[in-house]
Amino acid sequence: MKRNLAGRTTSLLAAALLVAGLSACADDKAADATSVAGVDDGATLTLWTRAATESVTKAYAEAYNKTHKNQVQVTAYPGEEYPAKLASAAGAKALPDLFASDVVFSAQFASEGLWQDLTARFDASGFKGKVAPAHVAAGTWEGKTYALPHTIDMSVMLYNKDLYTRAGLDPEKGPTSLTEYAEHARKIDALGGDINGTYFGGNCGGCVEFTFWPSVWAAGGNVIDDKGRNAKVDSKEMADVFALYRKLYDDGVAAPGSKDEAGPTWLGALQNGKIGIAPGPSVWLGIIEKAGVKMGVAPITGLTGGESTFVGGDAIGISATTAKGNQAWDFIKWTMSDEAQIEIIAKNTGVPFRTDLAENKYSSADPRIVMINKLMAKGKTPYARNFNASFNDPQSPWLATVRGALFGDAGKALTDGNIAISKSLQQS
Amino acid sequence: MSSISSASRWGRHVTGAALAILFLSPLLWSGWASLRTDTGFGLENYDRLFTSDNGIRLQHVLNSVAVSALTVVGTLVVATLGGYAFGRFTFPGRDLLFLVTLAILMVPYATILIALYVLLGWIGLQDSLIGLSLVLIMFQLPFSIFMMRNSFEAIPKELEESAYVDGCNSFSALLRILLPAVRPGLITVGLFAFLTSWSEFFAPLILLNSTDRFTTTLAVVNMRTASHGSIDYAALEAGVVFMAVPCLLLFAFMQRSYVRGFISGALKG
Repeated sequence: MKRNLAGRTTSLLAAALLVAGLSACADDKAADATSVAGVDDGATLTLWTRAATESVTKAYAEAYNKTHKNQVQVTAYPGEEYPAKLASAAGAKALPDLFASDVVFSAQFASEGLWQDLTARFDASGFKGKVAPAHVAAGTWEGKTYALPHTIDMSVMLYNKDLYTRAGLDPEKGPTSLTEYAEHARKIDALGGDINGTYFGGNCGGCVEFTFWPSVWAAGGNVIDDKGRNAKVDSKEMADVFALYRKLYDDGVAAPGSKDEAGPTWLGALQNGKIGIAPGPSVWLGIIEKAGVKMGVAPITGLTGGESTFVGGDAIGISATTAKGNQAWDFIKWTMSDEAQIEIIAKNTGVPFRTDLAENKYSSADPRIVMINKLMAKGKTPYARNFNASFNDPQSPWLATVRGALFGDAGKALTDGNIAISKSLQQS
Repeated sequence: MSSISSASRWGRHVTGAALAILFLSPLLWSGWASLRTDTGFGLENYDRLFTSDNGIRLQHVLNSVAVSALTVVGTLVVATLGGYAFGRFTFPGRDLLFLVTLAILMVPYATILIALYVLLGWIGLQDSLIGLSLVLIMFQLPFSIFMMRNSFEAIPKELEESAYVDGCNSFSALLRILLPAVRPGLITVGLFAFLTSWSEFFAPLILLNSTDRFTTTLAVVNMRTASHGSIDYAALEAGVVFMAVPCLLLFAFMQRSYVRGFISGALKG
């Protein structure tokens, strides 16, 4: 079924691009009437997003609708099929006024001309330099800004405080290097029974990017070059990280389920309180604690220290075909305001995408949240036009590389993978 | 002698039971999983299915019912008229036309949806349940017209001729005499159209754009909430059961006609 859907999606995308190709120069028609201040004149704005981040988008829209004449209507689609939906709508020139998407798609959508150029508006907004630098970089194509941050989801180390205490570790001190993380995991695994030291998504390209790459970045390495054209998967930094996780799996410290975890049961594994420490999305902190597990948070570190994070989440842009660009900009500009970032995001224990709001009246109550918020400025969002096909897709060369590096012939997998991924990245 | 027949009866029962277990187990497992909660058994998952932020709303169910009803009615009308024409009349280009109808099967579903989406835009039916139903009817046509053609062909010519003798024209003969005779075929086609349109996911995904027009299937798939594809399996199972109940009921009530519909025409001499 899954493969069937992936196949359908691929053929849909291909068909959509064919149709889109016929109409690629349709933008810029509203350019002369662009207002950098935004317009609030009672327009109805349609906004699409993916179901995973729907609740945040709806909270933004609700608050905005209460205080503005413009009204934003949110429609959410299942995440896996969302790219296909966007592609088909773009092909039919029926995109909504605004659409948010997984930030790693930003460069692709910008290069395909699906979003309006926001450079002038962003420059005049007063928020330039204050919002998630990694997201802004991801939404830039050929020097112009097309997408801005909408929601933030970062990777951090999540650890079970009770298991830390039982293993004789200090529950207030997370690991300060990846080597120390492995030591902690081993100590907890030694508790025996159904307790495991750690867990990871060994059959999920997106999960491995999200949780392993920060360790590479923290060690000063990189996984793809800055232009997103060449892979550096065979670098020493990447190989070291894979080797460390591989050993944890081989020694039985990582739960056996890690090998086949493709994403769907990842959260469940961390929620049941049987895993000592594992890298995962920061947004899960609240969800896991709701299930009754006391959690500590630490940054993801490099082998010998340093810290980084994968700044994921959603970016938002104004679609190229809308005639309501000024009204749509009014909404985007408002989401960057103190009001939206503090009263909607921070209040609900989310990560504000404004770097100057890391410490705010809500986060100050919980030092863990301040730590997560501050981490955002140090993190990265990978930038590549052909990111999805190269890394996130179940058929991607990256997933084959991950499988080889963790469970097969590691050296060969990394060498071959680097060639295959570079080739995929250069495809247009 | 009697021992052989009782052995064969046992064999039949065992085979039947094995097949029933094979086909029922996924559904039973879904039912069981949908009732299981952290603390035991209960209806929590169903509660979450209907009350969570992006769960099922009454509107979604009504939308599904509307789409299914439109699809069933539309399919029956077109398939009856089409099947009658193909099965009972000879006219120039008949075989070619029938081939063209079957050709719908030969186009990959996903690739044609975008073209259909654009087409619906031209006639103002994007993001509408009617537009969605039209597309679903079209994809039902190859099977249903084929079914109805066979059903009509299986009726003895004499039945129709006697109707003509009594003063019917071809249309009133269809209504008064032939329709009751092809009832099993109609039920099969209708049930098939219902089952497909009720559970269809991909066409609504591409053709519908606003939450209050979503069908139940879309809403259920949207229950996958957390990041990295993490799925709320329990609520999803509850959704599966909720979606399956109407199908099971309908099938239980109509299975006799359904099976008869499939064999009608197959025994034509």
